[in-house]
This record gives sequence, C-alpha cells and structure tokens, in this order.
Amino acid sequence: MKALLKFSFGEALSGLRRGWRTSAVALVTTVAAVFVAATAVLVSTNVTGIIQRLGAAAELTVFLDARATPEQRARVDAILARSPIVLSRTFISPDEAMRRFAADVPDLASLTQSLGENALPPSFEVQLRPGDEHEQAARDLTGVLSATGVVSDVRYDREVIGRLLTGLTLMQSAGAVLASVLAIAALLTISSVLRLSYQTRRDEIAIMYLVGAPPRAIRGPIVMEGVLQAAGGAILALVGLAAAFAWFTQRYGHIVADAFGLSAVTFLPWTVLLLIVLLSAFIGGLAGLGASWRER
Amino acid sequence: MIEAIRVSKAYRPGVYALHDLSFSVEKGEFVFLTGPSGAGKSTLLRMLLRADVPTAGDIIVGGRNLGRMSTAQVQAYRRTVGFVFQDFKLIARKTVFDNVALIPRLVGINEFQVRRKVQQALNEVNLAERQQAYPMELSGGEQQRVAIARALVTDPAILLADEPTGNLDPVLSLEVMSLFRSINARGTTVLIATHDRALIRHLARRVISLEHGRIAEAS
Repeated sequence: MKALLKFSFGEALSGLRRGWRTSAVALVTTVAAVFVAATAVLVSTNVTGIIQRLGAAAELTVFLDARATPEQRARVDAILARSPIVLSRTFISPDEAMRRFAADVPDLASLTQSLGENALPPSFEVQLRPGDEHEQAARDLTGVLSATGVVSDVRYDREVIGRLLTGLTLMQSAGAVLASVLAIAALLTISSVLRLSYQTRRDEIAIMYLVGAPPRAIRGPIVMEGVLQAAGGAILALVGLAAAFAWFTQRYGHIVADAFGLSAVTFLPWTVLLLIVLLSAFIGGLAGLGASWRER
Repeated sequence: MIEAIRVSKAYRPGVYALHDLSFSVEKGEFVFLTGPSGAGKSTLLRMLLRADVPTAGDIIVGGRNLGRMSTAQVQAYRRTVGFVFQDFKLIARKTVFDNVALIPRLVGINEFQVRRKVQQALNEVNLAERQQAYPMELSGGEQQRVAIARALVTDPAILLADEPTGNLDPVLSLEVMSLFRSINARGTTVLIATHDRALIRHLARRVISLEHGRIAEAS
C-alpha cells in the first residue's frame, strides 16, 4: 500500500507538472466552487447565530386601545401575570412611548408635537421565556389577549424571526444551488483534465498493463492527481476566504457585531475547514476514478 | 508448462489468424515459433500474454486456463511471465533502473530487495553501467537488453519474446540470443517468435513453424 501510494503520488506530481496548463484550469474552477460554497457556509453560520440570539430574546408587544380604562389595563396585566411563558412585563404609557419615539427618531419628534395630542397608544412590553417549545403558548396568549376587547394589536417577534429564518433558508438554498453548480463544473473540469492526462500517458499505461502492473497501480496516479487538484484548490479557496474575512472583519466586523449584539463575527472552525478539504479531495478522487474507469 | 488445445482466432467470420492449433511446450524447453509475416506468431504470443483471447479452444499455462481470468488475475499472471517486445516498450521518461524496477516496486517489494534484483538483472544483460540512462540515450541493442532485464527481474517461469532481434543487426542478434540461451539454461521456459532462419539454425532448438495460422511443421 505504501509503495502504491508513493508511486501514485510521484506519478501524479509528474502528471500535474507536465500538464500544468490544463491542471491550472481545473484548479481555478475548484477554487471558485469551494470559495462560493465555503462563503455560503460562513455567512449562514454567522446569520444563524444572529437569529438564534434574536430568537432567544423573543418579545410580545401588546398595544392597548387608547380609551382603555385602568381596570381594563389591570385585566390585561393579570392575564400576562398568569401566563407561564411570560418572563417579565413593563407597561409603557403613551407619554413614555412618545419620549422613546423622540429619542429614537429625533427628526420626526417635531412632527408628532405638531399634532397637538399624543397619538401613541399605551402598551405592554412582554419578555418571553426563551425556547422554541413556547411557540404555540405564545400564539394562544395572543388569542386570549385579542379576545379581551381592549387590545388593539399584538406584535410577536417570532413572526419577524420566522420571516428572517425563511430569508436565511432561501439564501442558504441559493448558496447551495450556486455551490452545487460550481462543484459540478469543477468535477467535470477535473474529470476532463484527468482524462486528458490519461490520454497523454496512454502509451505508458498500455506498457504497464502488458508487463502486469496491478490495476490499482494504473488507476492510482490518476486518482491521486484528482485528489491533489481538488485538495489544492480547496486549500487555496479557504486561504483566499480567510484573507477576505480578515479584511472584512477589520473594516466592518465591529459594525456587524454591534448591530446584532454579537461578541464577534466568527470564521469557520478548523473542523469545518478540514471537512471541506477532505470532501473536496474525496470528490477529486472520485473524478479521477471515473476518468480512469472510462478510459480503461 | 504451455498447452494450446485446438486454438482458433478469427478476427472476421471465416478469416482466421490461427486455426485449430494444438501444441505443448514442456517446462525448461527452448522453442522457436517461426513462419512468414502474417502466419500468426504474434497473435499466438499475444494470447500467451493474455492480451488477446482465442475465438475457440483453450490455452493453459502452468495449469491455468487463460480464457477464464479476471482483470486482476490477468495482471497477476502477466507478472509471472516475462515478455520481450519487438519494439521494446520501455517508458521513455523513466531511467533504465526505474523501467526495470517498475513491477517489483508496484507489488510492494522493499526498496533494498528491489535494488538487489534490478542490479542482478542489469548485470545479467551487461547494462549495470547504464542504469541511470534514459531509453532514448541507448542503442537499439541496449534497449532490447533493458527489456530483457525487465522481463527477468520478476524471476518468471516462462520467457516469451516477439521478434526480439527484429530491430537488431546480426551481431547484436546473436548476443541477445546467447542471453536467452543462458536464461534457458537456468531452467526458464523460453518461447521466441522469429522469422530469422539463420538464428534458428545457429541455436538448433525445437521449432514450431506456422503458416496461415496452422502448424506447418514441428521439429
């Protein structure tokens, strides 16, 4: 086995050197495919982190009718107090709402003052206990609150998060489709390049068959060439991605982290990087095996 | 050692390269296979190397029927048969040493043993001095001797040669034949296809003469 690996490695390197132009084409295609796939994984990992963080801090905002009496408000408060999924609740009076609005959107504060009266409704800001298992209970609570007749609207954060998740899933799917298309292109390019390499060594291979070289020794160099091309392409792509990531985090990392309350935007863990390289090498090996099998 | 039983090879219906051929070669024999061009010598040797299969009949070598082998078995069989090609079939980008060491290395013999065996084979064909040369740097006779060394390095029980002197001058031809004779003297069965009658007369060994794919004469 050791002898076979040594022979295959030597022959593969020699093959790559001899056909460096075509090998470079396969390498560039592999780099592009792995770069796109790894970028999709990187973005997806970080966005998933953001969504999980937002999801953990899910809130209900219960808007009361502007004419709600203190008794009606107390009834709503009692419903919230009884609910097991409510972690805490804060009543926001129309004046407090106005103060916050003026602080958050100072450009529009003068506009609200010109209206004469405060148009913002009283509300409860409700912190829910974290956990996906409260999803249905939160919806039930929303139904109960709406049925009181004094609640004009209930905003549930999870719905926004749900929409974000749908967006993320769509983005992941688009990334996966693009990465798959590029991976297929890389696979076909590597396969074609390896078949070309096989053709240029056809005479040698015929000699090897005639003198009794084991079949695995004849296919080995082609498989190894595929492995080296794909793994080399994957490593180059990941080095490029790491460089791009370093540049991005240096410039915009703190903005993203601050905006979403993350400690930092993170790169892919080394286990994922290793997995990407190994998977690429495996696919390259398969392309080599396919090429040598077809040309047999 | 080698037994051909009613072997026929037809490339087209009714057009036979070999027709109902039967013969046997005993262990340790030295046999010439001769006949004019197109008589079927090369076809028969290709079948003995299992590079081709008969349309009818059986070829049995060392008790194995060559018609019933998987790809891996064929390759393993070829490693037990030394074959010397008319056009040498050396790998141009490998040195003399690496050409001869190819199969021992691929079957996992340790490098020390490989070096010993290759040196021995190259000494036998008087090419030890040129082991780092590339085939293109050698004369035709030297290339043929490298091919013989490659055939010998696996210690084959049978040595087959297809017109091994076809590209050599008379002096080199005698030199190569004398090499085959010494290999045969060690007990290796040797079967050589040649149309060089002078060489056959010179060595005075058993001859199977083919004509139009049939045995015309056996001595």
